[in-house]
Amino acid sequence: MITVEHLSKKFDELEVLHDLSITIPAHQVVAVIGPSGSGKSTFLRCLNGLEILTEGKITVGQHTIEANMNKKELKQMIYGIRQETGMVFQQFNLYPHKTVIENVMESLIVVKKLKKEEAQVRAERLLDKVGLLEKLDNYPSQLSGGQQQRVAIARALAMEPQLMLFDEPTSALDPELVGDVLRVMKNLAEDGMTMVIVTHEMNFARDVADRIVFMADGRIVEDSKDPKAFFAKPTTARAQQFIRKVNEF
Amino acid sequence: MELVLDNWRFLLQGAYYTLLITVVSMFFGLILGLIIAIMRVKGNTFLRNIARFYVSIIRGTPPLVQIFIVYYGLSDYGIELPSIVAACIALSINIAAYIAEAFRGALQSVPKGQLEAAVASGMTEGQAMKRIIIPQAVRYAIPPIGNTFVGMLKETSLVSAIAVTELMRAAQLLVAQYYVYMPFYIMIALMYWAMSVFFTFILNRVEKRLSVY
Repeated sequence: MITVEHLSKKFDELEVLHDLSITIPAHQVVAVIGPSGSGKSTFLRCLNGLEILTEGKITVGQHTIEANMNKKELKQMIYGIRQETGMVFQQFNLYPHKTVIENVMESLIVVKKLKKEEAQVRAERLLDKVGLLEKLDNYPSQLSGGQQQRVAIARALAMEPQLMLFDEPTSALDPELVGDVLRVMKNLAEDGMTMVIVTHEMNFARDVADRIVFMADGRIVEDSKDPKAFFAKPTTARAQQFIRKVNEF
Repeated sequence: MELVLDNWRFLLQGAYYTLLITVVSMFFGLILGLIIAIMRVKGNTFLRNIARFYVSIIRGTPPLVQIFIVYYGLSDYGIELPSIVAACIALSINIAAYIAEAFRGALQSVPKGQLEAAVASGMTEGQAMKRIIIPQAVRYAIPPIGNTFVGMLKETSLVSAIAVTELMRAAQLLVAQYYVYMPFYIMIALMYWAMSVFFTFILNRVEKRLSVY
């Protein structure tokens, strides 16, 4: 599903990702963890072209982006990737001027050119799936953070993506609202969705992910296919130090 | 006071032209201003510089000079516009610069995540601008554009200088005829004030309607 080869990313002079390579097969749930500033979010945003890679090559499904491509080709490839990729943001980024159901329907109408009625049926089904069918005529500002994030997940799922990217989906939520969002994500994982999740929810990563990618200083330091073993005893010193700090309190 | 009442028809006609010039200039100014704002925010370096230069030169020169350039200046080259047309053109060009700045600020105050969410869900940048960014920017832009609009209403008095018989010139003509100043100028001041209050009221209504979320 995803192949990343020698990805580097610089912001001006500052290199935030150094020579990253990873392959993620379809239906895998990958949790990307690590200290702040380790490049986790930047890595995720490179996957759907929200950040443009400085060096290397990324393949998602049928589409490949490379550092040395011309602008037009790059734009087309990124557009292609986004057609089959959903993304959920830390700050939800719902459209405040549209109701809940309009948020979910928007890309179905604008991008997929669905008729309004068809889009509505699909949007209702997805809002039901995230447990918010009764809120469909509300505006985002009338919802709690957890509800907004579930709408954002429904909005991303409406496009029937092959891959879902989550950028710290629960970091902006009050603690008691985190569970509802994680439950929706867990259901999604059980349905076989390919997911890459940047998260600070260690328990969720251990219980739901198939694979843990530990990043520090712009590099993949540890890549474990056995989350339980990873959290019990990481192999690298850097990951051990991180896990010890996380478990301190 | 009787003098004012005797000439109310003439003054009302002046008010009509003031309104006409305001509304027409505002209409074209809005279109031009939106285009310039988008050039400034989304254009390449060339378009961006054109937009910046436009705003700089219009805001940096007196509107009366702009009006004279369009009306008298162009007549040097055989383009003799009717004074009311020249007035509307000059004021449209003028107001567009201020509206462009208001729109630019509004476009930039839409959070970056909105564009990211839209393109991440498969929209092109153009679709995202049209469906997500501009509708939100319009709401942010209404208060400053409303101020511009009311400012515009008063600025139309400048076109009396090219013999457009709007409210200001109507008063000047009456003054010239009767040799008294105060009643006429007080009267038109009240009329400008009434129009300003009316537009402010309408704008507040629009603002309220649009801020449902």
